[in-house]
Amino acid sequence: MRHIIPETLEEALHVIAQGPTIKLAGGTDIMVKHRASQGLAAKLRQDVVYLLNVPDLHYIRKEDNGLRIGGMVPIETLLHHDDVPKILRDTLLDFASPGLRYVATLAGNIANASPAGDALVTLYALDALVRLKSLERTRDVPIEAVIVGPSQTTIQDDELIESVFLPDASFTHTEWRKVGTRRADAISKVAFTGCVTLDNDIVQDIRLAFGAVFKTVYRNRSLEKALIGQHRHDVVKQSDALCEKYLENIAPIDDQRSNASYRNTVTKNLLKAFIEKLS
Amino acid sequence: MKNISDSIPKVDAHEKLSGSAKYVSDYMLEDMHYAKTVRSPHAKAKIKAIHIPTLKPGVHVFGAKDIPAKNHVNMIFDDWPVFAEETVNHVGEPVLLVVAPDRKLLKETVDAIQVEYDPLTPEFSLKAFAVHKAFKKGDAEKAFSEADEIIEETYETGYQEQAYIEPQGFIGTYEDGKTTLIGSIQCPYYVKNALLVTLGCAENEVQVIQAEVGGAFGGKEEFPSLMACQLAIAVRTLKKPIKMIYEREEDMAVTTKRHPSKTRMRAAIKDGRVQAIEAHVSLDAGAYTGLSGVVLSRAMLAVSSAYTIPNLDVSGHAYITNTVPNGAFRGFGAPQMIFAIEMFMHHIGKALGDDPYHFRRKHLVKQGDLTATAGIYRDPILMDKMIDKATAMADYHKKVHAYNAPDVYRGIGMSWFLHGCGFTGSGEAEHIKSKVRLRKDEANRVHILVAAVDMGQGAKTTLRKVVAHVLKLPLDQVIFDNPDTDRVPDSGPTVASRTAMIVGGLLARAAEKLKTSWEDGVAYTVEEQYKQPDYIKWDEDTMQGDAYPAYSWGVNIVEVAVDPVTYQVDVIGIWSVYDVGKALDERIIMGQADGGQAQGVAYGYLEVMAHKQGVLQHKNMTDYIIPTSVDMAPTENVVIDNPYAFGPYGAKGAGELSLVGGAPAVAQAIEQAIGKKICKIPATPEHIEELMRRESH
Repeated sequence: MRHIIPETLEEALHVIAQGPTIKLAGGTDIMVKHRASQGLAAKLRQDVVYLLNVPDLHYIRKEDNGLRIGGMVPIETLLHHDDVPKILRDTLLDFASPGLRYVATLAGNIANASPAGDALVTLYALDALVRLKSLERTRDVPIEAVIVGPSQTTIQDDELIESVFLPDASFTHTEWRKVGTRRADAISKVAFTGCVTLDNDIVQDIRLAFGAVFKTVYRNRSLEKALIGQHRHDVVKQSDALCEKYLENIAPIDDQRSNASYRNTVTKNLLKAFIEKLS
Repeated sequence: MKNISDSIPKVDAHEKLSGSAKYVSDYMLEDMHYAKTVRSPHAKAKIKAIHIPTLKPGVHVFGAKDIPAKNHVNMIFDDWPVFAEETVNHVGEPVLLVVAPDRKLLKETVDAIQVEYDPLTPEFSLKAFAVHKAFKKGDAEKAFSEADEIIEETYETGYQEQAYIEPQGFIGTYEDGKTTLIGSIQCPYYVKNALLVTLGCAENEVQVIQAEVGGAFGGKEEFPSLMACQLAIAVRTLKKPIKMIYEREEDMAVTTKRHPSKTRMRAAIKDGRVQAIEAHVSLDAGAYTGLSGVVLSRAMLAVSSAYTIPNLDVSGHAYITNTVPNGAFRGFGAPQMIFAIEMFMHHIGKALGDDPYHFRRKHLVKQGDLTATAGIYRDPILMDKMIDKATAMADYHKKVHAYNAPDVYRGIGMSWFLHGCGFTGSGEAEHIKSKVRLRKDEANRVHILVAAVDMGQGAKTTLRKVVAHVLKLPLDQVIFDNPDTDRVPDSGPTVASRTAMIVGGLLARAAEKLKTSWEDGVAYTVEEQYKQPDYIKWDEDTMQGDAYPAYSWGVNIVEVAVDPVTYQVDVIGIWSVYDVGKALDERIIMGQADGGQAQGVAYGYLEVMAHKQGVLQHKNMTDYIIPTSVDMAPTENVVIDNPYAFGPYGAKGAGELSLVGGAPAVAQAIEQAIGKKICKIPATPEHIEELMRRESH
């Protein structure tokens, strides 16, 4: 097993093209996952490629129609960057603990593919496009096509997350709610991002994303689409029915942090509270 | 003379903050080996066979057959094996100890050992008891037969994990026929006595030294004796230094926790007053009894807490289940019972249509009243003043009224409580017989020779202050090194809120002795031994008389907001007033207050631990949730003077007091905020959701 510290993106792509590797960003999940017992080195069974300090992956750039964030930008940097959408900054403020935020990255959060990953909930709501790069190709993939299950992604061995693109969007109202096991430094039991755009009381855009209640972050575009074009009061009237539809589709579990009943009820309450704000 | 309560910098603050303090894992010795335990994966099983692979050079395996004398950990009940012999009775029970020259080889050997088991049916419900106790006061039966009304409730509490920063650990060394254990411990002599029993050796063949302790909370009271016995067997055989440090997961999975409890309470009401309470408390002891009998006693003795109830019928059982043994934890049974009685009195007040505050207050203990066990509250009780002070600080009366309005989702709760200082009953006089020494050297420095451990609570600072104050010496002339059983007498374990009051009291007396006999430049030693005040009478069999030599008192007020969308509890404020006799150092007492309240309030609403088929589901500090600074509310704490004649400068116990009232205060606050009765803690968002759902259907 080798430890490889590439200095450029180009070099990194060459390394990962040679076979399966562990791509290490901040390491805040990988080092926990591969922890060995006391006094022994981490149980890393493949070559490890250290990407966190590759300068090419450290940028935040405004592009036509959106913002592009280099894969290795630490969460803490995003938290203080004015171009980062407010809803994402609200989310990242609840992300892990201050220490972890200095090394954790969006790319790491995506690749870890936890249903309870806080940043993911808002990235889903923002229609984030993940740029996957290999020596051969570059593809921009919607986040829900990258993450397919807990710890499961469609990222190929020879690809890395070069950047995340957030298409421009302006909302009338946004809301982030993290329901953690405590008020800080906690894993979410339920998380919610809601964004809505109104024009003359008519819904132009609505996005509802839920964390920790399904095998991935849960977003239902057809349910959202059905609300577009409706008067806000009409949407409020449907809130109970809408909640029921979401409850039919999500699949929360019982675990050491919470239980399915609580997760269902809180999902419903969060959605209802968000919708009722339109009244 | 300066007031002893005036704060000084904690004497160990610099070494702890700078990192120079030496914890057990910091010891690196030549030719040091490592040890790790092979544990049962079954909650109950018969051991069929043990297959040990061919061991690499330097690797050794020890088990029950290697124990020179008794295969039990010396405690009050001798049912806890050092190594499982024929059966295992809980998941994680130690079967073997592997020793290897390096950690890689150690891990490989542990993984390669195969133990064959015949699984048996485990018991997880409270069916078979190991300890039963009961006592009565007055004539409860008569009071029930004459009652206007009888009210009954059942209260439940969960596990609580000590969550000390530093996991358990020891290093053992061998030299000239002597086995020395250096560890993260609260009770050097408990460890030494356990070694003598298990090894069957002479006093001078074992020595126990306390390393710096990174928190204990009772978790390092009895459990370290088990580790020490296992390690000592290996050290004596191999004659090499061996280190055994638990990882967090191992520590959480196998060390003792706070006993889950269920308490059924019945009250006989006549003329708007509680005339009698019948209480039965059930504790889940886990697989072995250990200290559960004494934990049960303390729970039962707290039955009427800060109230005087004329007639009582109290009983309790400690049940054996196939789960990890439970044991000592700050409060030692009292938090379970004080939760039950405080909620019960509050609930009775409500049920009678009375204002619970007034209802409770008219039952409050007064000086001269009889305790639950018909002892006498001899010393002044300042609870009236303390309650008035606390309610004013918190603006309690205004808030409690305002929060009765529907849909505000705010609540305020208040608990009143006492904590018996020192060992229960005649334990101090008959079992501990605490002995302290002061050695004066030729340079006129005075060395404190006691077995008391500073585990963060400040014993090194306060005990040095007491001695320096009596002798009018500068603090640096008074030396207090970590206890070493070859050097210090047995002043008893560092438990039961006894160190400041009992050990400190003896040291103050020894210092007086030294002062009157003081000879400059001459080295000599003075000694003091505990004598129970003559008026204290206790009958262990009937549980009658003075259960404790003195009581500390407290009032906690907790305010919360509950989010009606997520049922999350936000603790907004905590206000407290304590009577610990006299603060030996104001800042240390404030530290005890803040820390104890955080632990006590979190016990009531935040800290969740549960097992599934005997396997604890909360395995590490990510799963087991303790409050962060963001979860903790601003606190306002006041300590009032009420000096106790036998404590140094009037000091009583302070270590456990600040924990025991937290849970009922926060539970009452949540109860008000959500308008549902709470009879079970922790009152988590999941539990609140269930309460809201159950009653809205």
